[in-house]
Amino acid sequence: MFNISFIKFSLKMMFSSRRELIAVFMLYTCLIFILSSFFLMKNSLFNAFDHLIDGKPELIIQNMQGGKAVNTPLSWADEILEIDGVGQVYPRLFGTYFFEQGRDFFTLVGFSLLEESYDSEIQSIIDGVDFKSFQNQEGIYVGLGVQKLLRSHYYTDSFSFFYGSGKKLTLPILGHFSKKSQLETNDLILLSKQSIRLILNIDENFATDLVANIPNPAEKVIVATKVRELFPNARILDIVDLKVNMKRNYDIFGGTFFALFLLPLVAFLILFYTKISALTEKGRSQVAILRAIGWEIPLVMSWHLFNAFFIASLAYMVGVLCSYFFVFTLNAPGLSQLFLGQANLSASFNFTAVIPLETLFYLFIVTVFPYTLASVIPIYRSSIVSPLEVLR
Amino acid sequence: MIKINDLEFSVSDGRHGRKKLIQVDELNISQGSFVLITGETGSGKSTLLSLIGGMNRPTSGTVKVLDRTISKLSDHFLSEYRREQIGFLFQFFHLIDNLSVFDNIALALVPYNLSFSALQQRVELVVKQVGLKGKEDFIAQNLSGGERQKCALARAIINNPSILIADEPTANLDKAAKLALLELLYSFNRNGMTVLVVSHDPLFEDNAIIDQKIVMSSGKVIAL
Ligand SMILES: Nc1ncnc2c1ncn2[C@@H]1O[C@H](COP(=O)(O)OP(=O)(O)OP(=O)(O)O)[C@@H](O)[C@H]1O
Ligand SMILES: [Mg+2]
Repeated sequence: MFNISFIKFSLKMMFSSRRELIAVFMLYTCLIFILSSFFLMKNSLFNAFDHLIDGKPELIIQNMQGGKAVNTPLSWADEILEIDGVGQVYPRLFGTYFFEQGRDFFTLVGFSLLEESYDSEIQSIIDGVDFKSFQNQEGIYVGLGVQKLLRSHYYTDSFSFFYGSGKKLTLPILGHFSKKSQLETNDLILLSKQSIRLILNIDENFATDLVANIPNPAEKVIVATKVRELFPNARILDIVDLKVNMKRNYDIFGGTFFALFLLPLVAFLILFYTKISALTEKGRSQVAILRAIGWEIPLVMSWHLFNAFFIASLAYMVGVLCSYFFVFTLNAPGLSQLFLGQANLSASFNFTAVIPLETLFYLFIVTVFPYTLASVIPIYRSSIVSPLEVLR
Repeated sequence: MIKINDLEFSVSDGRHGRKKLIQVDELNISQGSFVLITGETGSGKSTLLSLIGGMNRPTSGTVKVLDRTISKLSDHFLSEYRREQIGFLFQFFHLIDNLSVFDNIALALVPYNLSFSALQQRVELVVKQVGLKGKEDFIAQNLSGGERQKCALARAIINNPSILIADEPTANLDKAAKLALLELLYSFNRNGMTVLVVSHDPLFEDNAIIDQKIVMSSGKVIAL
């Protein structure tokens, strides 16, 4: 049935009603573009999260006063080390810094060249950092978002922090984090522990919080209980839990995105409905002509099946390619905010190309096939009536 | 060749039951004849053609063509019958407007698995027969009425049917085109094709080429 002349004439007939063809094609391409963009973004984002989550099992210990986390005394670390099952305890130094000119917050993270190991979170951040540059001088390492913002305020080589009452600390910018770690490092500034103590006014004997490494994850609960006994006002957090929560916060099915998602769906259903309900007069007369000159019902149907499949597949390919470009090259302007919340530094994210083949295949199945099959229904309906009813 | 017995065709008529469109007790048409069917409007001429041409199945009775009872064929065989034994001509030509002359004619060959060169050969042959040589690539809607009907005729005869059915084929043509079409119909008839024409056109009335004249009224054949 699918010989060359069949395909040739099917295409010719299809392109003979160009206006209808273009309308259907555009609508369909838009639908697939939006769905595909959504899936590509979701996949890229979740991939980045999964990368975050496979850290080592650790507990974070914070000092709470009046329901607020305050700096944690370093003396706690020694006591926690005494607990059975605790491998190491690292003090962490971090905090937010408000960059007034840019009206945005930076996350400062302190590190020391002398300390050999860090908790998994800092480790994953500093993976790509070139520490040689820190050996000779004090300086900062910045996330891509920070770099961009600083550049727009003409801080290209160095940046000045203001602290205390009008004091200023100027540090050279030694490098920036890779694009790969952007989800974590976008708003980040890495700097020495001395500098961060100065800027955030943290005393020598305190840290922002402590991270206790527990080599056997099964002992985490026992350790947590003992820490709580030692320090009744401590808050104990699990890094893995924290990150799972973070993932949940990027709830893509909530709110605005869902509304936007519904729009094309409705358009799709309308298209669907018109496809099922009736053919245009021209379409009916084409069917009648073919029937009159001896095309059998299955042939007439496969002609339309072929047409619909051709259009839908073409729209699928164009839609997916456009969304690929839109998400990974243009970084989904407009849409990414729906995923990532308001447009501030910590929310901006560069989508790295991850192609979810399985999802795209699924998308193909759920969009191309129903459309193709639906378009055959009206053809069948007009095939079974006598051609003469149409061809008066 | 065509034998009709106790033919009845009715359609459902809203809520009131069925409306009988045609009732023909007996009608015979011999092979190779040129038949003119006339009668006032609404008398059932087109309906009769549709039953002979296999576009409708009768409610009761039989239509036998070449010793085959076509009134009982499945859609598969009825399509095959339309394709191989019947050629249609209509008042409004019924070409696919945006396709070329060549493509319109070739559509009738698509159900066969022909190579493109074989298909092309056959299209060229009928194009020459109807006198459309050189216009193969013209788009149907840019043709004159006469040319359109010639294109439709080429499409109708491409499978060398034994019966050509024409429903008011000259109603939208000018004098010259009418004569040209008549000439063509007659030439096919001379070569053995049975031609059934429904027409009010005086051109066909009292024309020597007519072998048989059928007059219809209210769904019945009133004169042969
Ligand atoms: N599908 C149908 N449903 C109901 N009535 C129909 C149907 N098809 C035809 N008719 C009616 O049957 C009668 C015969 O129709 P037909 O088209 O055969 O007449 P006709 O002789 O060809 O007339 P005309 O000269 O105007 O073409 C008409 O009254 C027409 O309205
Ligand atoms: Mg009629």
